This record gives sequence, C-alpha cells and structure tokens, in this order.
Amino acid sequence: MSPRRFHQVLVSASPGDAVTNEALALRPVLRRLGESEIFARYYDPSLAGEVLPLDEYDRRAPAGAGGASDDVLVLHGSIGEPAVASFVAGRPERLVLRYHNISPSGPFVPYDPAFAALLDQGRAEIAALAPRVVLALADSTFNGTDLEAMGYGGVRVSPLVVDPSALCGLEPDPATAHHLATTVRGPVLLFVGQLLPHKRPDLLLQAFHVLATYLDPEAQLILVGPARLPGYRDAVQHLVHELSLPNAWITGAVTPEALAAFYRRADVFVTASEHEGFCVPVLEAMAFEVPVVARAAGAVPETVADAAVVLPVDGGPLLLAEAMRAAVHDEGLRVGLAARSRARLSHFDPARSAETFLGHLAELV
Amino acid sequence: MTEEPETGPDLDGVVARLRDRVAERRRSGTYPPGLEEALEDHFRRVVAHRASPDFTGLRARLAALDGHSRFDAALIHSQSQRPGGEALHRAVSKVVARQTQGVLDQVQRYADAVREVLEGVAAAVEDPVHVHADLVEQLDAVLERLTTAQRRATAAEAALSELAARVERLEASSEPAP
Repeated sequence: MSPRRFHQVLVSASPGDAVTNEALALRPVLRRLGESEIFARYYDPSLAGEVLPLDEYDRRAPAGAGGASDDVLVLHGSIGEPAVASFVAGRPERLVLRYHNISPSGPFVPYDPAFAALLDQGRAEIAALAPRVVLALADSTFNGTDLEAMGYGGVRVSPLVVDPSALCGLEPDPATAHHLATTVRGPVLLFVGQLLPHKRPDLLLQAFHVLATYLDPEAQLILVGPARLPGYRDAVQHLVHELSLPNAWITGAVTPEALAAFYRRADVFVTASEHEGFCVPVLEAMAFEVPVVARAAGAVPETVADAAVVLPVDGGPLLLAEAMRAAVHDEGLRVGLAARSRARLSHFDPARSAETFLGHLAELV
Repeated sequence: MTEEPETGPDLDGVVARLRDRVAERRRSGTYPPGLEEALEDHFRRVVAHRASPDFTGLRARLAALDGHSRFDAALIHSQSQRPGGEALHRAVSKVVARQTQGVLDQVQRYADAVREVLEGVAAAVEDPVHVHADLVEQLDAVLERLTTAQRRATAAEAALSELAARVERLEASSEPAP
C-alpha cells in the first residue's frame, strides 16, 4: 500500500526566502505523515534537487494508495501566478492553503504596473480558491484577518516555521566584517528586507537625514536586501544622493554570511514598512540582541509584541529619527529590549511551530 | 528614559516622550518649519520622472488585434435572403476565388507587417531604459543645485538670526546697571 502524499507547492523558491525556508523546514515533518516533496513553478538553480519543477508533479509524485483524492496538497500563497492557480484548480487532492500574505498592489503601480497586476491577480486567485480549500492556515493573525476578508472561514493561525537564530550560528563573511570594522564608524542603523515601495526605505532615508543632520552626525544607515524594481531602486538611490547622505549604504542582495556580519555590527534594526505579513528580519535582529524600531503596520506589532519600539504608522520621519537616536544611545532602553527580545524569541521555536502545523494537518488524516 | 530592569521599558511612555522631544525641537527651531514637507517633496520630485506608465491597456489591444489578424475566404459568408441567392454567391465566389485569395494574401502580408511594427513599438516604449536620460540628468542636476541654494539660504538666515541675537545680548550687557 502506497503512503499518502503531502506535497507542497510554491510559486517561486529561492535561498533565504522565508516562504522557501518554511517549506524546507516542513518537509521532514510532513514526511512523518507520508511522502512529501516541494514543487515550484520557478526556483533558483541552487535549489535544484531540493525543489522539483511543478510541471513534473505527476511524473515525480504518483498518486498514493487511496488515489489522489486521499492526498493533501499544501499551497503556499504569497504571490499570483496563473500557471500555479490553474494547476491547483485542476488537482483532486485536498487543498491546504498556507497563507503568507500578498502585498497590496497600490505602492507598486507607479513603478511596475505589470508586477502590481500580478499582486492583484494573486489575491483574486487566493479568493477564488476558497471553496476548494479544506484548511486555511495563516502565519499571523493579521494574515488570518486578510484571508477572512477574502471569503475564507475557519481560518487557523499557525506560527511561521522559522528559526530566527539560524544566522547567529553562521561565520560572518570575513570581507564584509572587515569592511564594517575598519571603514564604518559611528552607530549603525540596519534595515533588512527587499527594497520595495511598501517597505518605505524612502521614509527611512528621510528619517536618517533628520538623524544625521540634527541629532547624530556620525550615524550610519545600511539597507540590506535585493531590489526587484529598477525604477524604484533608482529613485531611492537618487534620494540618497539628493539628501547628501554619504553615510547611507544600499548593499543590494547579500549572502547569509554577509547578512550575519551586518547583524553583528548593527546597533539598531529599523524598519518603516507599512505592510508586513509577518516580518522575519525583526526576529533575526532580536536573535542578535539588536534593538528594533518599527512602525505598527500589518503583522509587525504581533510579531514583536513588547520587545521593540513600535511607532504609530502616522509617525513621520522626525519621530522615527528620535526613536533611532533613543535606541542607539539609551542604554536602559537597549538592555530592556534585549531582555524582552530573548523572551519573545522563545515563542518562535521552529520545532514547536512545525508541530503546531502538523497538528492542524493531522486533523485531515 | 531608563526604566526599572524588573519590568522593562514602558514602551508607550517611550513613544510619548519621543513625541514630546519632536515637539520641543520644533518649538526650539532645531527642526526648521516645513522640514517633513520638504523631505516628502524631495522624494515626490525624485520619483515623478521615474515612474513607469501602465502599458497593460496597450497589450490588451494588441491581443485583441491578433484575434482579427487572420484573413480567409472561408470566413466570407454566402447567406442570402433571396431565393437562390446563396447558390449564386457560392458560384460567384468560386469564379473569383483566385482574385479573392490574391487580395487576401496581400492584406495578410500587410497585417503581419503592421503587427510586427506594432510589437516593436510596444516593446520600445515598454523598455525600462526607454527614458530621456539626458533630460532626467539635467533635471536632477537643476534640482540638486536648487536644494543646495535652499540650504545656503536657510544657513544664511540662521546665521543672521544668531548675529542679531548676539548683538542683542551685547547691547543688553553693555547697558549701565540701574
């Protein structure tokens, strides 16, 4: 008798991506229930073997003993893709939606209308799947509410399977660490995330301008993460130039080892993001005992709880600059946040989160 | 702002004190009036000429054009309301079939060429590098000079205020005691 299948499907998979990391972490857990592979429409070549091409699904994953209708398909929802939507719609397996949120398209429209349309389409695809989904698992309450707004009922919240401390165990990239140690003077404010409009790096730069001009001329701002939209990247880079911010550094995508070096050097982690479905980097910063300053947008408040300075979303660059300064120089605040960060991180034990996920799934078996 | 280690920082209190500091620095003139608006204006200007226009409508119209780009004599209907009319139309179409096909071939070649040109034009305008880089650079240079000039003006104003304040202090200190 063939075992049941619990395969996962992603639109795209890339190293370091939170959704891909979760799929990889869930695979051994799902294999306790039956067969489990990860399929993706697009994937980074470095993941070949770990991730299988979606168009080989039938060939690589023949149906189990009870037929395909006895199997479970876990779809990770984070962006639209017609090929994946039509694949899922035509499958007989019971469908579990793991929802990571799809960013609102509005901020993307001026820079990449086609990408914005893809986001809208993604939301429409998720909404259209509601009648087919037997179990909807959101990785934050914020995302659960978002799913309900799209017509889903009985949504469960199951924490993201993430190990925020994973980077702490890496040997920092020597070149990056050397550069940071010898060239970068003054307190370092670090942002980690994709350079995208809804993450509001423009607001961060405005706040940094205020900080460097009026409060702390030695401060450094480092923005780490890939830039997907060339037009927006150019605009942000030009803003750096126009505001005369020689101490602002946009690195682009970096390796995990280099990222570890940045976290180790950081004095404060700061994000002005106005939409987050979860926000893994704030937890990574906490793992490095770096105080976090953020805005109360999306899932950020529930992710950080009482372990970060969370500013109201209507707080502008002046308030953000003051918060950066306080997080750098107020030792009492830093110590207090570090203690709370340690406590907060205990809520995101990957093994426990995986068991919670498995518990929900076991109800279907 | 330091709090007791047992309870950790009162974060609502921290945010309230940060707000107070912003207000205080506004009052004291540390933050010049209109600073936030000026920063936002900077970014709006920067993005204004970097935004990509929406070409999805153009693509949709090209796709619709594709639907009408196949010419075939079989698509010419031969129905008629008159008795025997349909047979007559079919007979005529057979008689002129060679000429009809010749015309259709010419139209098809023309349509294919037009389609190719339109595809090329669409690709050219969609290309993210299809910007008037020279104009953008000139505009950026002008904006940078304007920003520098504004900063100098602000600095000069501040220096004048400082001078005036010092003169006033000097005057006050030089007045004879009552």
